[in-house]
Amino acid sequence: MFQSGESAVGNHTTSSEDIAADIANWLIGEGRLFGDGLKVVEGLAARLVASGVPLSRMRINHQLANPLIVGWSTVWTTDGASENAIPASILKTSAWHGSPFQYVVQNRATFRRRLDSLHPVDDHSVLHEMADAGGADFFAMALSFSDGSTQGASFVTKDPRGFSDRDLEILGSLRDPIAAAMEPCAQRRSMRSLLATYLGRGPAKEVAEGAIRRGDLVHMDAVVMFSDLRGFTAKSAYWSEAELIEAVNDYFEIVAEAVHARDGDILKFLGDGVLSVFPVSGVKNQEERCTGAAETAIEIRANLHALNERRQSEGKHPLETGTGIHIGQVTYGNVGSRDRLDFTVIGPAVNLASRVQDLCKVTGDSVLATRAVADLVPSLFRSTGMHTIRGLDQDVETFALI
Amino acid sequence: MNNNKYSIEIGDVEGEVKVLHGGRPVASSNRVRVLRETRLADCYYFPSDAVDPDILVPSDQKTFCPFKGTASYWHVKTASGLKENGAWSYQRPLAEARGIGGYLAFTEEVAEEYDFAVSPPEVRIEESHISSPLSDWVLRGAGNCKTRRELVRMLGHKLVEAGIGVNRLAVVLWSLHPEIAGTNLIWRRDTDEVSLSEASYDLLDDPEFVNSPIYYVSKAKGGVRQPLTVDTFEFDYPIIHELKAAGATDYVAMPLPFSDGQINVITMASDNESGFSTADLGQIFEIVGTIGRYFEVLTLRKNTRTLLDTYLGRRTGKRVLNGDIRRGLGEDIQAVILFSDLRNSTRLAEELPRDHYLKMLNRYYDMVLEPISENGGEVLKFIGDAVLAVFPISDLADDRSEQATLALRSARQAMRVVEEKLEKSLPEDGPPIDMGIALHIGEVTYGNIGSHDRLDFTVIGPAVNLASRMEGLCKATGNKIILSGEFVGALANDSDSLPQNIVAIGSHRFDGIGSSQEIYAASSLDADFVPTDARISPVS
Repeated sequence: MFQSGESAVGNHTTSSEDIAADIANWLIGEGRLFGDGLKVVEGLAARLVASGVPLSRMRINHQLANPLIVGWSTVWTTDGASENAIPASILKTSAWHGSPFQYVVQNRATFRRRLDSLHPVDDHSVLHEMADAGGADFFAMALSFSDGSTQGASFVTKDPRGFSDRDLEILGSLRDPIAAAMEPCAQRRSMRSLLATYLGRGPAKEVAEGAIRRGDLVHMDAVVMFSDLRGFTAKSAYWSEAELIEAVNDYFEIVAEAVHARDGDILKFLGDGVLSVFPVSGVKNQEERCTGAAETAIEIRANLHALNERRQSEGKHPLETGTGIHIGQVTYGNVGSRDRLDFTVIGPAVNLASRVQDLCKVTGDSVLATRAVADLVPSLFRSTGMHTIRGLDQDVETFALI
Repeated sequence: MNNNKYSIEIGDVEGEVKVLHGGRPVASSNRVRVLRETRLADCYYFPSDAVDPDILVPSDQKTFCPFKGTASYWHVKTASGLKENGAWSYQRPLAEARGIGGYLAFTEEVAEEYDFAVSPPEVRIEESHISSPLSDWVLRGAGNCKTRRELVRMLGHKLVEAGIGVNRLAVVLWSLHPEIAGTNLIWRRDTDEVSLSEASYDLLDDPEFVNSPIYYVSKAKGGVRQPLTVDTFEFDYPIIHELKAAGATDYVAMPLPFSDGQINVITMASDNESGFSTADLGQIFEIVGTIGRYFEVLTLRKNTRTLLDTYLGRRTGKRVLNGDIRRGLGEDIQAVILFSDLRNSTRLAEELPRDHYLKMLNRYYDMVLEPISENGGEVLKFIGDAVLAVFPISDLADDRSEQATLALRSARQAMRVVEEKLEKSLPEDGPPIDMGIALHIGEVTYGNIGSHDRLDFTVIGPAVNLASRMEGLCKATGNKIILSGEFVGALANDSDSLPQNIVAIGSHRFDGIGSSQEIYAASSLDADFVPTDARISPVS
């Protein structure tokens, strides 16, 4: 209804209802469409301040579906706005227990406390922190999302007179509009987080941006890396389920950390193995990615060594790893049936990386690469001769780390 | 002006009015008109002859207002540079705004100041928020709707309750789905039912769709408003004519944007004698902005479910959605494990041209995945061209043999289709397509493995390892479907005789698996089966 040139009405009234109504309209309409929690919070803070609410700090939290992160927090102060993840571990600490946020979320109620007369013990540490930073009044309220979940929002003022009744009326009446503005982006973030958890970060990004159909594929260069626990099946035949899972998870943790640290993607876990990929973004990037993959393999080996020391002290068997690295053209994207997809890499280059990794148990090396990789980073590798590869007519030269 | 209702007023401004930019006049006239629209600041419109045509550069931009119609834009040359879309005009306005037809208005960027020879009429700005039972419901009550269908139906009810004569309400929501491009929900007042239809991606190229108001709106061209009691239609779409023939008097289609920029569409038809009033449209426009949030949230939820079903499988996706997203010990269950694989995969990938290989691969997946899911199995993983699927066994009495039967059936169905269709489609001198399937039954641990923040919801355990090793025997023995002793036992429901067309082919000790295993082979056909001569010799 608004043309690009027409402007909305300005505030000529001071009744809290009208102010709240204008801000509510902005939140539900324009604010929501930003799809960006930071912009919503910044815009909301600006409008509240412009309408006379003496806001110095605002925080809006929402839950997130993620194994390590329990929520997402967006904070605005007069110095600026920022957002960050709330680790799941916080739920076990006193930072959460007894906090105003816990109170409002669990009771779906509001919480209000003047910060000039705090009780040293009974009032939560976060209130003391706010007071130490110059805060005079604290107000928190619950936000209801339409899936039934409850989130929290808190407001602080440094004005020694605190929040007036009018201020609190305005803030309270914005409960639903704030939820309206934040819920879509909270949900999107949750969805992306789930995708990243189960597909890997690179694929998650592609899928979230619309690569959702079979045939959504790109052909590109990539470094492909297969790593697994050498001889694991044989060794683990007599272990308990719990020991198996622990060993495999510990190994996966090591691999994931090393791969992610160098901007690679874990595409798949296969038994006790891992398929990772380091997409190459141009000829000049090839060497960098090969180096990254090699360093990843080295780090995996080193961290596994450290893990083994710990395992030995616990009376457990050591684990050994074998890694194969190749660089070549791959097809990256969705394969599968029409409604059951896998976002992965396909192509002869992938098969070769896997076969080279198999050779580790033959040569006894823990890391083997192909000529394509060794040619790009010759200082890291030395040849270990020619080998026959199942399914290929030609023998392949393998390279071990120097 | 009525209270709580939208309205438009057009008046004449007395005396000369100048638009100034950088202190210099851009346009001036003593026949300026002022447009007053509920909740908006006054807008001044200049007759076109008051503006020097040399400063105007036509722009492609168009915007739409259900009261005024479609506005065309021009860029404006000013002393400080070209101001994009700095002026607009309604060339063929709708009835409510006829008074400013062909008149030009300027954006704030261009019109830095107005100079009035005579004081302008007092600025009477309507008090802000229009509240009504309808907008209250949209702000609060609408959140109680659990599905998009329910939301559309309730919205229809609330519109009618508000006195807006909607007899048909439609919402088109784009999907994030491998096969569905969008969902069309239509509520009809006479049946009070919401029909739901899903359009495949083919729709997007369908000429019928391209020639529709939905297409127009979704392509960000603005909205559509067509009163149906007039002689000529500006928006001459077949659907609009159809609606008129069915008794509609007015039609409007509006964008329903989501926060990622996607433009969905909401349409309404009225059968009120006088169609939609200005007040009606005002209310509609306001709630469309608000109700978008609920459609977005419900759609996002559906999208998440779809994505998890697509990439994890339905059972697994459901668990993840219910919060099973931490690494843990998993759940120990009994299950049939199915492993299928293409022999020669390395050779196939090497020798087939890339696109041919991809096409073959996808067809292979179709042929294998469909029978599995039709028989109740869950595909857990693709490993190159290998597929890992499970048929979980419940506590019910005969479920063990039931699942084994279903799994064997799906293996046979898959094998038949692959033999028939895929193997024949390859070039004669090319590498053969040769699929092998292994079936085993046992205890598996079903849960999340992986790193802290990169998970895989799958099955692990010795039974899984055995199944994958067994699959490797297919080529060695020339048998296409290999079964473990335990699997055959479950199939036969512990009777002594072997089920039809299953033959023992010896025992085998697998790498890394303690005891030697009794192995069987099954034919893909239910007719008589002749076992191959190749027997398995135990590993020496």
